[in-house]
Amino acid sequence: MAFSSNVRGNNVRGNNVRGNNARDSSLRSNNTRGNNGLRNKNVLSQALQGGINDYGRDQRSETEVIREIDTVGVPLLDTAKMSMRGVDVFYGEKQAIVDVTMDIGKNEVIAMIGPSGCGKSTILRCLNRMNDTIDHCRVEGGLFLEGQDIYDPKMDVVPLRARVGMVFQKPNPFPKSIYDNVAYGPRIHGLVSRRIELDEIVELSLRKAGLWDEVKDRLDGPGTGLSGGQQQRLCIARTIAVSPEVILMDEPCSALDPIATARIEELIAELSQNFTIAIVTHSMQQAARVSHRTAYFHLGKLIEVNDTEKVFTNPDHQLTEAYITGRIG
Amino acid sequence: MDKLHLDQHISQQYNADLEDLRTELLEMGGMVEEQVRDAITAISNADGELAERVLVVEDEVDQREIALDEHCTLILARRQPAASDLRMVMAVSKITRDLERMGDEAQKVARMAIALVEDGSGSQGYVELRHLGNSVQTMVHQMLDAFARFDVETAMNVAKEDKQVDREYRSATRELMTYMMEDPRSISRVMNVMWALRSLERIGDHARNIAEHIIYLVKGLDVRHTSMKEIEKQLRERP
Repeated sequence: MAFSSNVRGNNVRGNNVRGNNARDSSLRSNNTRGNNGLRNKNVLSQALQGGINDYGRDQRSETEVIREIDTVGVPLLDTAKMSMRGVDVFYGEKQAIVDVTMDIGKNEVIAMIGPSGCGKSTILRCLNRMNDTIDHCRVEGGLFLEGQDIYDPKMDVVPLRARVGMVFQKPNPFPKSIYDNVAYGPRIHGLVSRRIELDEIVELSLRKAGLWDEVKDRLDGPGTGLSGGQQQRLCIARTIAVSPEVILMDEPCSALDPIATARIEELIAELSQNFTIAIVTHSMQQAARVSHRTAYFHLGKLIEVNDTEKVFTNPDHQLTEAYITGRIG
Repeated sequence: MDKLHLDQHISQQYNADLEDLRTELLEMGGMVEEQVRDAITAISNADGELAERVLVVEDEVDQREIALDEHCTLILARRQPAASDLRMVMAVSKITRDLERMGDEAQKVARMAIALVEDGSGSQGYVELRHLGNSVQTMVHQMLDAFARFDVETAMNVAKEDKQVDREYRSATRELMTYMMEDPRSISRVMNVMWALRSLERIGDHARNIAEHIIYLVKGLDVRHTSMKEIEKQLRERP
């Protein structure tokens, strides 16, 4: 009898829960009826409390509403290696980045996350002027490497890209030997005068990239003959061979299997002792594992930048929360 | 009231997983609440039969604890939850443990009830038991409501109530001591009452722990080992 009344007790509370559900499921049915945009809209209208709470009713687009959001968290640092101040990026008429202001600290790993098209790769590519190669791309605002304006017309991009190296999504070794892949940078930048110095740099870079033991017996073999994960580490070795200060990584693991990914992540942790690393990733777990700070972008706007620990346990902004918990995508 | 938007994931299955977790926890909570209530009724009415039933329910509560823990582990493995979802899973896992301990304490109270019934007449201490029992029952009930509605304010009330329960426990202990001094023959009986009071006070402590887990779940603030004043200050600072 105690048990049956027990069940009754549960039911009462169960009803309570169901009551809540009824309210929530009406939200959900709205969501399923609308398109994905509407679904986001729902999360958004809840996320944007206060002045723009009536977003659901007004005629502005999601983009317009997002652009009014102020960045939350800790965007500025005392120990900045690179700084962005009010950066806007346009592709023709379309604005891809809206007023981004933040610092990247010395020897920190910063992860940039956000849904597709949020501008995280764009901002990364601004940091070593890779966007210069795109004709209709226009960058406004200030970008600085140790206080030096990198968009200064007098700035030479070749040494800039040696100081700020980049690793891409797909491993792209040159169709040359493993040795020459790594030696290429030091040679063209004129960093070495003698073969023995070059040998040293190649070995050191390959060691730092965790690849030396696997390739030391076949340095003359083609770089393209390595496995995907090895190729990616070769590209990292090639990047660090010119002693950069900052390494930009654009989804460096998305073409790799979990083991190769784990190796690269291990490598990132080691490299962060000597280099500043900015990594764009689609894997939130990866961002949580490797980075010290995390920046969340949404529709070209920097929504939040905070310590990674904070972002993944208790983010300051509702939109960040919605994205990392898989509510918007 | 803070909403955790548990039902707005892109994955419907994930929504269902978290909702199940919440429902299962509330079911377990309902069982423990009933157990506590029955144990208190049994001891204040000297009802041995009811006390026996409390002991039976305990097994079921233990099973629920294991099932819920497994459920939490599965969600962690499958979904790698973050932020509020992560706090939900962590909080449920911790709350489950406290609920199970509450069940254990209720079981102890029931055992004392059986011992008192076997001991025969005498009603010293029943008033104290009823009094403390009522306060503890209210706490448990409020605590479950706070979880069901993710309501920080109610959780705060539970935490405050625990202070009151501690005070009542101390004054009841003093009262019972005078009984023992007056009549040494009652010592073993009164000791049983004391143990039961002690268990009730422990149930209050667990309810307070759960209230703290609820605050963590909703606000992301870890308020364990923090004074009420400090908790209130932190809550004000974090809207």
